[in-house]
Amino acid sequence: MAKTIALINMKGGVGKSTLAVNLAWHFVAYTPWLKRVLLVDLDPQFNASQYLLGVDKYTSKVVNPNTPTVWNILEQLTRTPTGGTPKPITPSDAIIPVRTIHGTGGKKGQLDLLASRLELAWSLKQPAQKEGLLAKFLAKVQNDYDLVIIDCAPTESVLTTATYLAANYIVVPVKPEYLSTIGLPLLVRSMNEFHQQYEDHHVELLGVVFNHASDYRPEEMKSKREVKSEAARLGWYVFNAEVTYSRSYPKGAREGSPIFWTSKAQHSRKSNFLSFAQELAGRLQL
Amino acid sequence: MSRSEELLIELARLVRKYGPEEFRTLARALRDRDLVDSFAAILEAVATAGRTPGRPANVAGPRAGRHRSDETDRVLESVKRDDPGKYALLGDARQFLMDKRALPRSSDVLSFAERFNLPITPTNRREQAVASILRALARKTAQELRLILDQVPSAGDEPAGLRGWSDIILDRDKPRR
Repeated sequence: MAKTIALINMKGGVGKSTLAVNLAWHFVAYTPWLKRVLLVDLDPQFNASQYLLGVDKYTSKVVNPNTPTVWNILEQLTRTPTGGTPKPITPSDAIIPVRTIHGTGGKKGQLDLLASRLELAWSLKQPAQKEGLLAKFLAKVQNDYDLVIIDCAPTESVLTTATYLAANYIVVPVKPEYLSTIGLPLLVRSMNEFHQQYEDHHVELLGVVFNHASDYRPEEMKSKREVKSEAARLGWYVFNAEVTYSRSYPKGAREGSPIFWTSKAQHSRKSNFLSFAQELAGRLQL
Repeated sequence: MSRSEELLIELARLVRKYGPEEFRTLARALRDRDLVDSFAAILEAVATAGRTPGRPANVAGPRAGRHRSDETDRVLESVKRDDPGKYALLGDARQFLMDKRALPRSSDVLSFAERFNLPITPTNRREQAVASILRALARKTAQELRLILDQVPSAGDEPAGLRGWSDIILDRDKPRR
């Protein structure tokens, strides 16, 4: 049965999508994991889809065949004057196989994508009764995957609620800079309010990870100390491993490659990410 | 505090540094009129050399403590050539310290140096203490340096930022967790 984690921060630009895509790749391609991973792009900016597919595959696999995206899942019950009876979207309609990695002994990793599109922003304007539809959709594929990773849009909306309802765990990427760190209490408040409203569903804050960190910058160090201090006070886990900034991440996004397949990526940067993936896998008991 | 009082305090510090006997000897020597004249001329020359246009004569210019600063610059330049990564760490640390965003008093610098066994010259002047600790830090490996710098406490307001916002956002009076 799949474990579902969501990457959220109420502050944008903290590198959620890059982190989500690289995490997915790590668990799919690295021995001994070779896991079956579904990446859910729940952001109208659809950066994770852009990263994972690139423009050509996005055109051929999403746009031209009119493949349903998360937007269609959230809108599947919306009636229109000419649309007839709404038809539920099945996983085989919407999930796009991205890559299979064959390991030894017949073991294989599988990376799939539930893509997003710009029109997802429309769902934010008419959010009523859509929040549970993603969880309902993902429940159908629970036995097909080891891990589902949701890349959630920043800012409180129906997408956030849909994420909480679908996820078991929340991972919060925090860029170690002042405004980014404030996204953390905003998220915790959002989770608290969710738990007040949905008492029968529990989603756990699995941890905070410093993303786009540098080796040492005074302002960053201060932000990290503040986050660690707050985390200690409020009982949040902070991952020991930090994901350090590398130019290979934007390069990888352009090439559709994870950092470990990006040419000229520094060994230390790659191993930093791997350390984080290992620590996360340990906490998830993956 | 007036400038005269500041000067008196500086003199008191010098008495402590050199001992009262040195001052008595100097006082006796200053009774010689010719010596006083030449001494005044030397002091004026030194003061003028440190002055820049538009700056009052009694304000220390950028050349104050220049020889130590030069020495620190030389050390840092050498690090820059040999280990650019370590130089980046030191450069950031230097800026942070110079802006007084960390270790705001000379005593803070000395205590921090003592805590990490960094050999620095005891001084009451923070600028000199900072230069001295930077030279000591430059002798560490990049890895050691990172570990030490990670422990530098920031000046004063550290808990106020995120903690303050957390308290507001999470409505601390009514905990919801």
